This record gives sequence, C-alpha cells and structure tokens, in this order.
Amino acid sequence: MPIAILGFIIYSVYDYYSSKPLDVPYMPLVIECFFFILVIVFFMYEKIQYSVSSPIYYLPSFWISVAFLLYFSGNFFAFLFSNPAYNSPEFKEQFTLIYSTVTIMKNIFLCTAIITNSNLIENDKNTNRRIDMDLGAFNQFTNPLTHNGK
Amino acid sequence: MIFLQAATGAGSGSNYIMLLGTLGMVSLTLGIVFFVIFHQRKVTRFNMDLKKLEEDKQQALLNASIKFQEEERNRIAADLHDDVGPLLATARLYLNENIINQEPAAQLQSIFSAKQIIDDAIQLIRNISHSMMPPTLKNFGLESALSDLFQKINGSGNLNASVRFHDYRTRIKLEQELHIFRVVQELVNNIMKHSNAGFIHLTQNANATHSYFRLHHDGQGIIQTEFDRLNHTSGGLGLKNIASRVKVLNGRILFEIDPSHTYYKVTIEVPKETNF
Repeated sequence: MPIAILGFIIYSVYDYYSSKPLDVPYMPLVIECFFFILVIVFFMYEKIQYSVSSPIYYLPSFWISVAFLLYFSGNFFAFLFSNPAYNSPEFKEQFTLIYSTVTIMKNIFLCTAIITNSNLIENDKNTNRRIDMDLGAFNQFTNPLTHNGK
Repeated sequence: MIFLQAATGAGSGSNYIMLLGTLGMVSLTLGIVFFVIFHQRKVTRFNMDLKKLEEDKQQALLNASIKFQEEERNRIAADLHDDVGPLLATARLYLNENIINQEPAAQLQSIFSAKQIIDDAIQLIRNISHSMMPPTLKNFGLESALSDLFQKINGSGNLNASVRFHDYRTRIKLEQELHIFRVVQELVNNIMKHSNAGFIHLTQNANATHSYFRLHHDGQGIIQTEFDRLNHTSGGLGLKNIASRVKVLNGRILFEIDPSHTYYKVTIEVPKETNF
C-alpha cells in the first residue's frame, strides 16, 4: 500500500509537469478513482470481517466510505472519457450532470455520516452516564395505615 | 429521465457509453453497500445467537456449581448434626453433675466412656475434614492422593484399581491438583455407581505444555456426544461439576470408546502451571 501511494504521487507529479497547461489530467484522475475504489472495497471487507458487535450502518466511517465509493465509482467513466471529448459542449453538459448528481449523493451520505456520528456520541453519553445518588433526597418510608396517607 | 434525455441529446457513442458506464458503476456500488449491510447483519445475528448459547451454558454450569456447593454444605451439616452432635450429647450425659455422687469405679467408667465417645467424635470430624481437603493431596501431591484413593477402592475387593504416573516430577499448583483430584474422584464414583466395571486404570503422561490423565475402565461408559448432551440437560450435576472444573483448569475432557468396544477412555488434558 505505501509503495502504491508513493508510486501514484510520483506519477501525478510527473503528469503535472509533462502535460500541457490546459489539458485535463484524466489519467491520474482515473488511477486515483480506481485506487480509491479498491481501498474502500478492501476497507468494507475488513469491516464485515471484524466489526460484528453492532450494525455497520451505525458507524460514521461506513457512511463516509459509501460516500466516497459512490463519488469515485460514479465519476470513473466521466473522468475516463474527459480527455478526448472535453471541449465538446454535449460532453460538458453530460459531464456536469453526472458530476453534480454524484457529488450531491456523496454529500448526502457525508451528512448521514455526521448524523450517525452525533447519534453515536449521544448514545455514548447515555450509556456512560454517572450514577449520582443523593441519598439525602430519599424520603423516609411512611406507613400509609398509620399516617393516613399524609 | 434526465439521464435518458442527456444521452439522446448527446447523440455520440462515447457519451452513451459514459452514461451507461456511470449507471453501471453506481448500481455496482449500491449493490456492494447493500451486500455489506445484509452480510454484516447476518453475521451479527449469528454471533448473537452463539453468544446467547454460550451464556446459557455458562449459566447452567454456574447453577450446577452453586447446587453442588449447597449439596456439599448439606452433607457436611448432616454429618455434623447426625453423627458428631449425638456423640457429643452422649459424652455430656456421661459427664453430668451426678458424676461426683457416684462411686469412684463408676466415675472412672463414665470418664472412660466419655473419652471413647469424644475420640469417636474427633475421628468423625477428621473424616469430614479429610473429605473436604485430603491431607495426602496437600502434603504429598496429586500422585500420592490418587494412589491413596485407588488403593482404598482396590481394598474393597470389588474393583481392580491401579494408578501409574509416568511424568510427574514437578508438582502443579495445589488448586489445580485439587480440581484434577475432584474430577478423577467424580469420574471414579460414576464408574463405580453406574458402569459395573471390573477394572479402572489411571495413567498420567505429560509433554512440554500439558499434562494428560487417562482413565480406562471395562464397564458401561459414555462417549463425548452423550457427555455433551447430559451436560446441557437439567440433570447430570456431577458431569456439570466436572465440566466446570475442567473449564476452570483451561483444560479439555474427552470421553471415548476403544475401537474394539472392550473399554472406555476418559482423557483430561490440563495445561501445566507449576507451583515451584
């Protein structure tokens, strides 16, 4: 994994300096998408192997990974076809449509992650609540028969 | 619909492929996500069932252990109440205040009788104490205690019992020895009560990490599946006690029958924890 990351960084830097100023860096983008899809699928595989105590959809990390998996897989083909047809107005229209839709979906899932996280914090607060018993607050037991309920 | 309009508007083949590819990738992603959620739910449910089964088993073992402890207390209480109590009461009768009004010979006789009864009471208390913690086990170790037990069984003449320890140079912890002793004692009791065996033979072996105790007998025994079944039913208190003691020892117990069906084997595997 670290070797792959290092290789990708070196390739991105090389691509940045070797490409023309107005070119779309489609190949690094495609590799990035592919790389992230692989990493996220592996992450999910790990999650289902070890996270078995509570449902996986209670974890914010799961929704973050879903958001980015959707983002990278949704844009994969858009990035792949961006280089030859980027200047075509029809492509731009379609690219914008795909990119915007996928980005909105990603953001919805990120919001879900935030909501899940706040729920998780709330649950933690409830389960780890301190038990403060003020014994002085307890009323003495009164027998209703002898005190007529007063 | 929007995607379809965009696709027809684009008109070109590459745009159409891009759109279909994107839809395919998004569907695949959603498929993976649903698979992960449902698979994990299935695994969680399975684990919860497993945990519940384990908890039930633990509860049964705990109940058996408490019940066994209560029975043991009742037995000791009964021994003290029925045997020692009357003896001491009789001794007290001999040593009542009227003794000073008696003839010296009668006095001597009363004192002698009281002394005899008190000696009997002491012997009874010693027996009760020994049944709780055999002194041979405490002072001389498991090998001597088991040899002692098997000698007593042999002495009865009904059963041929023998012990052979092959590798017991260093004693294990006293608590471990006591658990093993109790397990063997319970197994031997069961064999004597239920199996009509002609012989019992105990062997001990060891490797670098574990000690092995194996009982052979030629009576009617049980095999592992039967032991597991009895262990999960409400009865079988002795077997539950064996299982909980083996669990405390972090060991294993295996009930087998010889392939020739001539004798049964019970093997206890215990990790070595030396005392010294």
